[in-house]
Amino acid sequence: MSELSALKSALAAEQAVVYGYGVVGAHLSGAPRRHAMDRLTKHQTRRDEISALITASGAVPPGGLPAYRLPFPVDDPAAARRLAGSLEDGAAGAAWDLVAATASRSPARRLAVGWLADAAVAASRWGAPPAPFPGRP
Amino acid sequence: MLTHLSRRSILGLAALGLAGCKAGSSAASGRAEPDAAALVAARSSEAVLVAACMATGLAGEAVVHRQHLAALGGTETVPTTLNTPARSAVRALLRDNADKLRSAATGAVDGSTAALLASIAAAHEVAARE
Repeated sequence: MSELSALKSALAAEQAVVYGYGVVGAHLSGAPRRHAMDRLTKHQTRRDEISALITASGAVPPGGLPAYRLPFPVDDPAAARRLAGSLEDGAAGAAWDLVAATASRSPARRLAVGWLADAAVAASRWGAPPAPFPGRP
Repeated sequence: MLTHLSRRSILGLAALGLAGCKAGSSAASGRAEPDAAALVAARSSEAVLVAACMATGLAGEAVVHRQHLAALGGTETVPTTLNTPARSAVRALLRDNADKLRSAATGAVDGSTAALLASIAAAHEVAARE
């Protein structure tokens, strides 16, 4: 996978995660909701950073979809937390791919390495079982 | 649009062709030579973590570190005498090791090696917070 392809895939992943966190936040309250909103903000920032990297490479960042089908029904806080864990798990996968596709010490590599750890920690915080190799296909 | 899926397909990402896009062998064989030093260092750290976890009674975590060691192409050796560390010391070791692995992942020449090192760093980061 080329770096540009990986960036576009990562952008698509982050666009989906941002959408998903909107759903997550709608089903939570109090501290968990605040945490979901913090994660939403973080992923919005990440999405924008990836978009900027794509633009800097001379390509046009693809836009997100208006809506995404959820992997399972989300109608209570427990399902929302599970969705959040799934979103972070997916974000870790996109980060893995981006790390693998980028050049040594490139800006995208540096960012993706940090994103992988961040997503793994967040997934764990949402109650996802720890993975021996976060993000690995 | 889509249903659930593989770890990386999250919401609708399967439609974007992500599935199977990554070769990502975790075996150490065939890795680029320039990353040999990073792999040796990572294997050494994992072996220490295996020993530290066993000495501390963290058998479950030791299993994970053995998996890391194997993915890095290492084999466990009988540890030399290891004082029983406090669990807090193991956590500190994990955090320190995660920092080093992230740095190694950033500099790795081979993409598969970089991803593996970054992933292990992430796992250590998670474990350090538990």
